[in-house]
Amino acid sequence: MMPGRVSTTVPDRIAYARDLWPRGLITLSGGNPAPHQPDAVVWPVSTEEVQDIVRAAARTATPIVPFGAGSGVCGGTLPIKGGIVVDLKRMRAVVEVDAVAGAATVEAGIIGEHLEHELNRRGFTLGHFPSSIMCSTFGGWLAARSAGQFSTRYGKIEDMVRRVSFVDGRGELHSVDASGTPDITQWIVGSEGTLGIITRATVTVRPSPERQLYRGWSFPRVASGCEAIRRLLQRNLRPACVRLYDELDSFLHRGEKDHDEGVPESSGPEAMLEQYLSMLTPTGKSVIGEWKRRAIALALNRPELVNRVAGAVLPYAQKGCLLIVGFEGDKGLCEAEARAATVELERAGGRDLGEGPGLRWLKHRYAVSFRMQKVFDAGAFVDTMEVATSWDKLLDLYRAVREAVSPLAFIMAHFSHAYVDGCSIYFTFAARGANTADAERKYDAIWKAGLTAVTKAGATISHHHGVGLSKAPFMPEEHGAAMEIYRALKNVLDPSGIMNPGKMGL
Amino acid sequence: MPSPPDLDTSLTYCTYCPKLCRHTCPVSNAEAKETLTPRDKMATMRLLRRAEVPQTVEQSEPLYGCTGCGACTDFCLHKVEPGQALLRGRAEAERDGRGHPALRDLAARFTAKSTEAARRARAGVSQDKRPTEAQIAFFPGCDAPELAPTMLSLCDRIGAEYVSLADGEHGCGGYPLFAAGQFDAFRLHAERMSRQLAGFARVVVNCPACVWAMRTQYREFGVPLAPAVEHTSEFLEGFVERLPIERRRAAAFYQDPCYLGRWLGVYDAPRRLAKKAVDDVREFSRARNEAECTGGGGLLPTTMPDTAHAIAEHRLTEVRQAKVSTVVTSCPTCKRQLDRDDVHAVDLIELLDEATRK
Repeated sequence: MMPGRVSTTVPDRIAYARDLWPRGLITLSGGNPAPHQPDAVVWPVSTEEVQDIVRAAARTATPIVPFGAGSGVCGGTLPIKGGIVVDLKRMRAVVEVDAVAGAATVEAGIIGEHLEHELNRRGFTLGHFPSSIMCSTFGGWLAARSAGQFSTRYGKIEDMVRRVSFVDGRGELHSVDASGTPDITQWIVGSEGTLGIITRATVTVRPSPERQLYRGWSFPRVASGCEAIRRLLQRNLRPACVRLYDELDSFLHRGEKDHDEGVPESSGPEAMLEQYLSMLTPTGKSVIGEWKRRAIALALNRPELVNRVAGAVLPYAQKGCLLIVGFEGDKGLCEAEARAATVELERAGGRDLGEGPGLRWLKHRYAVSFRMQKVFDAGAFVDTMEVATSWDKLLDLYRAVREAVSPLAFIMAHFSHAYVDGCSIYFTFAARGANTADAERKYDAIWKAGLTAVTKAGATISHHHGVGLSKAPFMPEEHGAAMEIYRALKNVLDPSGIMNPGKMGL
Repeated sequence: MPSPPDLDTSLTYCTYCPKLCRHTCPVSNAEAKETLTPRDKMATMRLLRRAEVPQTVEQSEPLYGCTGCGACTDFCLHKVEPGQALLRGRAEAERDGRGHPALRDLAARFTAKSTEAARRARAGVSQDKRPTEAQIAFFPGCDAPELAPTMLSLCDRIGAEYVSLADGEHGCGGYPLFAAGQFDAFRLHAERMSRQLAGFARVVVNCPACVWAMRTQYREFGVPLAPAVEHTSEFLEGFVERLPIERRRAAAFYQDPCYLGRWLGVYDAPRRLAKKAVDDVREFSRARNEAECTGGGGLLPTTMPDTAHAIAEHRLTEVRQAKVSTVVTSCPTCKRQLDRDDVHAVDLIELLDEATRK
């Protein structure tokens, strides 16, 4: 079966023992590169081959982990029970782009950037631009209910789906249509491989935008910024992008000389920490070399102090909260919406910073710095927690998570992916352990504290990163008795329990 | 442009990077294999150096899954150079006896091919065009030595009859030895070439990888090279307004060779020349610094021949979709990779020779 496309070699098993779950990076930095190795990796080229693999695995009760590009940050593709990793990337055809239907049918394994490039060549866009677009797949987006940076306008990936084909845990092929009642596509999208392997899907595409208008705004506080976004959305304006950085995140996003320019060229958490340290030094200049690394390590050992100092210093900085708002699409509509947004944002107390910050964000939105990785090689870690709730609970959620995590980690946040009914909050946290075991213990404690606060606030534990392993313990609290429905569905579609076992709280 | 970080830092950056450049890698795109993404190749090298994985031939194989095209570097915020770092990894593998099996007798094969290339280059060139000393001499490289008489004939036609052949025992600048990580053999060869080319003031080299190796790596290995080295397209650009064009092709795609473009920064010269001989020079949707590799670099055709072929086939997709039957390039390796029954790959020298013949 599949000559040349099955591997049990050590290098391949090591390469597929990782995804981008930061807890795995802690383990890696401790000298253990591959604690969860699969027994084999396979690369099917057709739906029929996927069916053959699943049927063979079902006969022998061998676990199967569907794999896109391994960019998940929740451990969703870790083969924790061994078995077979099914890498879908050889199934990567853009099968059809139908201009009249405004739809594209695409195989699951195509890398996101490749898909968008192919659509652009034909004059279309998917409008789906996750930060991981260079290193994630179409199938992975569907499996984890991904959101792009322009989800406010184009929707999340599940909003674009018209049809999904998948092979269930018995090897049966299904093709389900979103226009049916009920919409079965939504049972599969977001199931993270626990019910089957998504092999292809048909999604809505749109003409490439004629016009893009991006601007920066400043609001005195998070609350006034959130209120402005809510008004925009509930007035039915449809910006492509809305991103509000809290006071600390706003400060760290700004260079020393261009406070109103906003958004650095490298926007990784490491760069933010570096910028934060420069804020704490009397001259405001960057600390350099080994001293910088030591200073960051020291700061991460005392997160509560760091958060408190930040709270004390920021009011004097008086820079407020940076808001990026962008519109795109048809030229006339885009310009009209941008004008209406300007009126609304000024009425809500915003200060117009001009196009600069917006265009800089647009240009550098995929730039990620790794300058401080040596710090992270020494027991420190950074992660993000993307949660969401309705507008009425949003600020309570923000405060609750900050209060829960502040004693344990350096924390900041931005608000993005805004909709008529609510918004996502993207927390970034960083901390450090004395050694690998200590770092893992602290990491787990932070997530437990954060997600406990999230569920208590009545919010969802995952807006677009999925659930995987890291959030699995909180699935019962999120879904309550409805987990029984999920388990029943699992029993029907995957009676042998081979599909991505141990994930999603099943 | 920032300098690349040192090797240890580069390996660490890549190990913790979320594979941000993976979409650019021709090898991992063709193979669809995590093990061959730039991140994982660099992570493998780091694990090998830290002795955290078995020191085996199998574990070292991913180090050879790289064409050195530099597309990943172009995308990287920190300008990490996996294409160069992995060659150091290959050298370490060679040193420890876990080098790629397909390269075991490379040095002997290299010598045979290099001397045979020199013989073939000289075969079509008259004695008076093979002086041991000259201002400007042409060095065709080992992949297309037969272009020597074509180039000299073209030079005669455009008023550069003073160009002669850089004749000698060897016909290759040594890039294959460098790409194999066989650094001692490369240094010895560089010393040989330094002696062979000592009588020339300028050497025009047609193979971009060897231009790059001779310009930058000879010096790195402590080998002085007397003549200035330039690529064919850089030399011919000086004659672009004086080309006696007699006929033009209707349409052709232009393929940027990786070493000429990303590594040497030469994008416009070959285009200006090609436009003199082609009515409609088409651009790939990924061109210039974003151009996709054709799979010929880094000895990939030797270590992973099927993958090298698949990379070239992918590159030809747009050419076939556009129903164009010609690809112009200025690299003998790219030409070899792209030439098919239905698509004719043409070296810039051949294109201009054809266009200027009465």
